[in-house]
Amino acid sequence: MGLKYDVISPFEGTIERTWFQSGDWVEEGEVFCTLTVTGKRIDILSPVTGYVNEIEIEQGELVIVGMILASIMMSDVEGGNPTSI
Amino acid sequence: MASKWFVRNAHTVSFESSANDVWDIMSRFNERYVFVTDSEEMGKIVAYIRDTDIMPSLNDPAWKNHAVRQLPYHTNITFFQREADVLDFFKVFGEEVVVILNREGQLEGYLNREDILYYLLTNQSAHTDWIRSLLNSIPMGIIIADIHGRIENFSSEALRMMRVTADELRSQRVGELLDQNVFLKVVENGEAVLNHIIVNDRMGVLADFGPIRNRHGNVTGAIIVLQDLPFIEKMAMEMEYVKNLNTDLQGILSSIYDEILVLDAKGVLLRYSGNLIKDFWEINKEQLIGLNLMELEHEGTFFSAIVKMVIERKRKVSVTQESRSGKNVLAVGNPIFDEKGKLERIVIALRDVTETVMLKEELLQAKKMSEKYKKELEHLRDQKQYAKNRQLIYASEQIEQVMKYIQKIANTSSTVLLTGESGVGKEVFARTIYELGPRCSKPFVKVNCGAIPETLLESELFGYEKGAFTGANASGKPGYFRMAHKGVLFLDEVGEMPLNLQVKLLRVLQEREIIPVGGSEVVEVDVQIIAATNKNLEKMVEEGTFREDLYYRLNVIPVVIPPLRDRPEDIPLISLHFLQLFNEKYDRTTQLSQDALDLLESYPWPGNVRELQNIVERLVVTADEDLIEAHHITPLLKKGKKQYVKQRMNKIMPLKEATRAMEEQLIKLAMDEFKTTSLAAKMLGVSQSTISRKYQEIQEKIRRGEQIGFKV
Repeated sequence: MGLKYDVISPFEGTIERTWFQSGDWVEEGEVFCTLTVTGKRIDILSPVTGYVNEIEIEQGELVIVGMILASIMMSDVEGGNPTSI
Repeated sequence: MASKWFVRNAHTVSFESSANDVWDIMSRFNERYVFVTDSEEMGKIVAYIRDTDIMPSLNDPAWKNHAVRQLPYHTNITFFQREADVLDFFKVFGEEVVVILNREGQLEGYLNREDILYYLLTNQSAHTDWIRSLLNSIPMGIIIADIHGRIENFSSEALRMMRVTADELRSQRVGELLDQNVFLKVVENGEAVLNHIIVNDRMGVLADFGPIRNRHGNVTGAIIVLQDLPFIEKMAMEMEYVKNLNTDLQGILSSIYDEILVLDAKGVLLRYSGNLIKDFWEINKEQLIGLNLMELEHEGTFFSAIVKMVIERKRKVSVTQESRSGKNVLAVGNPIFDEKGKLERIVIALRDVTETVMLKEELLQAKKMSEKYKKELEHLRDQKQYAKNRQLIYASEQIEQVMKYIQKIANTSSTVLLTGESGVGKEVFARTIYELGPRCSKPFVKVNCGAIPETLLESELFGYEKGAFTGANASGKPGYFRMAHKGVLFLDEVGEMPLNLQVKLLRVLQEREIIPVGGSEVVEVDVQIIAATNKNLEKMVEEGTFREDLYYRLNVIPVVIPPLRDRPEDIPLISLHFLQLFNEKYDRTTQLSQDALDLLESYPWPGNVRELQNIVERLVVTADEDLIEAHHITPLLKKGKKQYVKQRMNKIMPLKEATRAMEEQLIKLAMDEFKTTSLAAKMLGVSQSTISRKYQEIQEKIRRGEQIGFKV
């Protein structure tokens, strides 16, 4: 069973763009989505490497501080089994 | 049997007869009914006249002359064949009069209601408990009870309505089943209670209670008539269901770990349940009931933000929050809509995820650490492997210094320039840098700039597009730069690179992009350059044969590899390593004697490690005996000037002999160096005559072919 990690918004803002879809492979530190915060663009990075499990937000949506934007199922190898804990 | 029926005689009149005729028949025969025949219908009976209908008119003298047609007559007559059986009587039960016809359809007589009842009561062939049948055929529940409420009789419909079995019903009393107060009112006061609604979790009925009296007028029991109240019953059932659901819900809520808040569409807290998260709420939650969470000040904007988000998004919102006390709380807000899709409630589930978050974080750290250790372990294993295969073998301080330096620079991807004499193993060092570095899993591509014809070097390095020139590979060639993408490109003999290509190489190093031969598009490349040369590039720059800018571009991290003669302590190690290698290769078991090793160590090795490798290989291949002695080696070594300088004292020999040997060696060295006896004498700190005399002796010795210096 893999372990889920949440992508959490550190700011209140608007989702400008999401770069991944559910099921995509994402590596730790990759830009997961871009947020517009009072005119400034802020990239939110993936906290872990693994598969995108669920995306809660869509482009143009408002998000608040601490909101869970998506969850990522941690995994070691692309195409391999999720990390067993 | 049927023919034995008692049948009343039916007296008939026609419509034209007078009322007087009718009354005459009634009074004469004491008949309650007189039948009317219709002459137009072949004398068939079509109506009857009831005595009670005409009695009020008897006092009217004019009335008697009225025709029958003017009298109140009834036409609802049931006809009945004489052969009919008992079941037919049930059919006609309740009719006021039934006309009986014979088989030919002629009038036989008639029966009234009481006759049929009497017949049904007295007919022995009827097995059916007809009263029960009667009761059961009525779509109402009927219960007959005595004065104490004991149930004496009931219809099956009553069972259905009250949802009891017959035995259950018999064992219970009316008061328990329905309503004790009403029942007492009926039996004690003789009142009838109508339309009494009874609703409980078992039934919903409308009940009529009526007293049963004996002929003296005393109440002896009660009859209760129940009617279904389907809608009331449904409501009652639903209420019951909801009640149960509520109980279940309370149970569920109190046994889950989450804290649940139920808010209305505006954010007012309606109820909460579940376990309280310690240290999260800063005020008592009970005080919050009825308050709008959006207006809370104590809890900050946390809840109002969630409520706002749920209202806006109309779907689930999960938010994490760290409380002032350091608790990590996950709040999941869920909207609940009514049938029309209007937001009705917001349910917020709060969960203390402090531990989970902590554990996840720790796990992540542990994973990273273990990955790091794994890498280090692999690295160490690689190094061990490397030491075995790649053969960076050393014991000298100089190489130790170089290695320390290499380890320091390996983690960068900066350009490295390796310089050193030919054969010192520049490629081995280049590989070491590559393998210690971050690009070790990516390609390592070696290009010998001196070995590739000048005309081809460009296409080899940068690749070419398909059809770039005659004889080019049809599909093009990626070139070494692209092959080494993300990895390391080792440019050996970089000093041999022609000037025109030096410009292009410089461009690649500066721009990190290449243009393949014959191509027009720029290709980005990311390579670490390790260049190596045995040339003095600085001198070449001065001479104008090497571009200065390229030199500085390459000379980012210079690594100078000392020649083998400067580190003689490495020689035995390397020799023995090669010995082992070639022994394995040629399947031999040769050994080097201590003398042999000493000799190798004293040799200056102008060809460095490569020369040493070749000598050892030759020795292994050509040795007749397994033990290789010094005298086997001597013929293979070039006679160099400094051949004996490195001789070391490592065995006991006569002191006099050693002094003489050292003297000879020193004088020869000084004379080779300074050419004149006077200078040599000065350097050696003795008189010129001494040098002159001794040097003559040495020259004579050489002429005679004798060895000077230490014997080997």
